[in-house]
Amino acid sequence: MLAIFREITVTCFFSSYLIVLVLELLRLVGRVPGRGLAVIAMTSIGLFTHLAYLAFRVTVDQSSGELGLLASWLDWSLLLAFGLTVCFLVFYLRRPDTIVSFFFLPVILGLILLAVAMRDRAPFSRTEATEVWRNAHALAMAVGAGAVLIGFLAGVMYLLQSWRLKRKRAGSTLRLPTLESLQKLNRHCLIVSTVAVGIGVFAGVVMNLNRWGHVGWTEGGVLFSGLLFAWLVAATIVEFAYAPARRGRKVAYLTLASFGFLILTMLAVLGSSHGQVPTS
Amino acid sequence: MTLQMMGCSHHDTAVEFRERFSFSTEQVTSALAAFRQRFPTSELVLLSTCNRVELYAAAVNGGELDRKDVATFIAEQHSLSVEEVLEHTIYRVGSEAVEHLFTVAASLDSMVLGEAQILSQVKQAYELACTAGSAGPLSHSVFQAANRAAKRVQHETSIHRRRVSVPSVAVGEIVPEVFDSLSDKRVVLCGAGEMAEETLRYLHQADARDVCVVNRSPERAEALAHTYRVQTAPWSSLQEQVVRADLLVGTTSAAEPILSSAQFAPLHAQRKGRVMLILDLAVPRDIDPAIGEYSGVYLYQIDDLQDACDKNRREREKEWPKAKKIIAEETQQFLSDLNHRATGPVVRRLREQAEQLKAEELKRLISKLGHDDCDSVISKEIEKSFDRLINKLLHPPLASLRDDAAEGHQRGLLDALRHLFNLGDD
Repeated sequence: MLAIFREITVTCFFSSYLIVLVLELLRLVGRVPGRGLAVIAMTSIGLFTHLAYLAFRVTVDQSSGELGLLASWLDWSLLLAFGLTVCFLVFYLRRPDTIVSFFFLPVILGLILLAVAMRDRAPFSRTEATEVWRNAHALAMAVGAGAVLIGFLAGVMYLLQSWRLKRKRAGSTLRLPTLESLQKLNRHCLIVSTVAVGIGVFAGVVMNLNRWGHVGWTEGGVLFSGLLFAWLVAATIVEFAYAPARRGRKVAYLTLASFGFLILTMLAVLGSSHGQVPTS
Repeated sequence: MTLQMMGCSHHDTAVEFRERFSFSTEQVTSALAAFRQRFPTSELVLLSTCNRVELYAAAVNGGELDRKDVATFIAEQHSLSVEEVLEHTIYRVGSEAVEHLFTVAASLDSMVLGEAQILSQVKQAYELACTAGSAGPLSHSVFQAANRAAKRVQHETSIHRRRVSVPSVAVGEIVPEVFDSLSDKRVVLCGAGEMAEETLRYLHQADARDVCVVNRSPERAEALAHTYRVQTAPWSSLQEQVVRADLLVGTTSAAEPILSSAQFAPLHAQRKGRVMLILDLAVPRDIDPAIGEYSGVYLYQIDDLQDACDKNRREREKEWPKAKKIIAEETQQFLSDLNHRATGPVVRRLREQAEQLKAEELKRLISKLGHDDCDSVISKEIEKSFDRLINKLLHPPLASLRDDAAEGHQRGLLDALRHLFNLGDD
């Protein structure tokens, strides 16, 4: 299996993205049957090879002693390009009629070229890499927790506003934001928290690999962070795939449940040695 | 003649009874004709709006019409029992009825204090009575005075500033609790009458761009849609429109709900949980109240606007005493004028009688003095003296009569004068 990954190079996904850009530029010529499907297929292939390349680098780097994992300009540029490509695919799937590709793809290709240009620069040491990924982990988890918390507050306000309106209390002095804005806030918080917690979990994994060489998956904080992320991904997928879930009280319930998972995660983190320097 | 008012309003009667009690325009016309036939010497003006149904009847004092007669007449019009009508309605007579009409016309009794719609509805009711021939001298004067009083309140207080009618409260107070903006919302307006037009005006001001008018009569819908440059849809597509709507407004005069809970159930499933605000501004109600129980559906009926109206009322409380003072002044002035006008024929006959006596006595005196010998200058002096005598004699009783008239003939001087000087009846 690793042998196949070994064959994957930057050229593979760079070419995929370049083909996607060319396909998208065909819009300027006229209507091309099957163009949309080809864009999705090529982007998916590009993402797969991109991810496989990064995974392979982690595997190789792990066995290289003092060098940090995913701790070089090359890695970070490729990671950023990967994140941008995921965003592009999401935007494209939501609105295939738009030309977001004209904006995203040049930047993605530029980042990959930058990564190639920086490949000779020496990577950071494991200690330095640990610090970088620790900060990324902490920042992303803080943003994710904040988004879950704001989503929870929006959910509570939504349910309260809905209760008020059902009981004909509209027009009273103590007003709340509109149902529409609370619903939008709920959705945005769900998406932001999923992305942020995803980045946080990923950064945590890389940090652990840099620091210990393995991830303690059974440790409370890690386990519940993973569970929170899994829940957020599931909630976001349901929210996107099932129209009623993105409207009305259902989205409020999703964010309330997310808050429940956040509380469990916080209890697990605070109740364990997660994030603390072990005393020898 | 005395004015009497029998009716009900949102203040003390539930919408369920007002629905049964209300009159459509056609029903008003036939009711006025029926009244005219049954009580030929009495007058009637019938005011029927979403929030109130009031009958203003005028009859000769002690004449053919009393409270029970009016209640019986209403009961027959709506197949209600007389007891039911008496139980659910209020009754005002004389100065109280006049003051009530002035208060209603000035929009001080409206659900939304200071709303402009009611004065035009009062005028319409009066004009309809004039057309039907059921209005008379008292109706003419009291409704014209009501218009004057309402105008005075409008001009001399700020109670009508930023006027707020039921549709404007619905669009201005309820909609902003649900939606950020109406510019990207689908609005379906059922009905094309006066209420629909006013609602559409406020929707237009609120930047609603995707509005569709649905009405049984496509011609009226087209006319309204043309004025505000919105779309129309056939009545048969109502259910399809409900599925697409974010805001549904009911303003039809349909006797039965246009959307039942059973009809709505499959439409709700098709809406896939989209939030829907329903403003049912019609009486009788257009929307089955059970629809408000569905998840994501927020139904506001006309009575539910009370909260917003109460707030509105509180904000205008400062102007309330001033407006009420104007109404009290106008009521007093009207009654005073009315009573003064009632003394007119008696005073005129009294003066005519005095003039006749003067002429007879003057003629007799001049013939006794001898016409030829009597200087014309002396004749004029004698005539002036007679005039002064008559004026001095009549001044105290007429002044007392005027004062008594201003107080509503409480001392009965008009009757006394009529009998003392044998002036005959009206």
